[in-house]
Amino acid sequence: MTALLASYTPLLQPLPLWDYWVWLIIPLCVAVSVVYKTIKCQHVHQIPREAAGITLWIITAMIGVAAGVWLTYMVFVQWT
Amino acid sequence: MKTQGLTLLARRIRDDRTSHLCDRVARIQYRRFMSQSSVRHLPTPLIALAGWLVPGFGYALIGERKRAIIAGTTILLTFLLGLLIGGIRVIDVPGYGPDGAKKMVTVNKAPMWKLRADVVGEIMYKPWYIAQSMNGPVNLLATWGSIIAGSGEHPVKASTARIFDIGTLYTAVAGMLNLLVIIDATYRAAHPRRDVGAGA
Repeated sequence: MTALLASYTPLLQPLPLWDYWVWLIIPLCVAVSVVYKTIKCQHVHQIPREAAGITLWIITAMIGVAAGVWLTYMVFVQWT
Repeated sequence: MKTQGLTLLARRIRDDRTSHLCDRVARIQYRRFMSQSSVRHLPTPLIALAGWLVPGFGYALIGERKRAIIAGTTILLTFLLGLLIGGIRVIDVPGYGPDGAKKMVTVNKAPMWKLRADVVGEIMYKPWYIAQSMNGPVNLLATWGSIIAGSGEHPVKASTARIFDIGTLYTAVAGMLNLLVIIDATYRAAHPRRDVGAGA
């Protein structure tokens, strides 16, 4: 991983994150939450707290959906 | 007689003071009105254009600077992160092939640039570019960079599979978020609230 990062040229090569791609969902969730709450909140000082809350909600919901899909797969494909 | 004179004098002084106070209040109100109207009464297309040129700048024009900084920084960082994750070639420009050269087709036995021959079809072939283009001039710069990087003697290859998809997703989501911000800033400019500046 360190060797891969050392040979990484920003913008010209993709980041060597093939095995860690799933973690890239977190910055995207944060970005969407911050901009959404920037639009929705009446006062700017509410944004960090509200955005943190909605980020957690999105990630929790996605974990829930993933668990549901995994369970469905296990029930209908693996265990039957 | 003397009392009447004193009463008249007292009334005049009071009137003078009142009018002086009224003048001061009017002056303050006028100043406040002018300072607010100068930021509020900008035409909404101008707000939208400013928001497209620099993400978040539409908010700054209606006096909501902090909101502008938060939205603009987040959008630009998301776009930049997309480019860093997938490389500059995640900007998949309509009308250009994987080798960075213009796609050509034959129309009436004459060669023609595919984007010119079938503009809608070519854009629909790469619809994520529509979302990416909502990032404004920064996307035009990345478009130019992508074409340059893809052509020449040592062309940069586009990333593949998941990393390309995630890079495209980041840049496209950044553009869509900027579209939301443009719409919100334009709406706020057209419908100013009484407590405008609360977000500033």
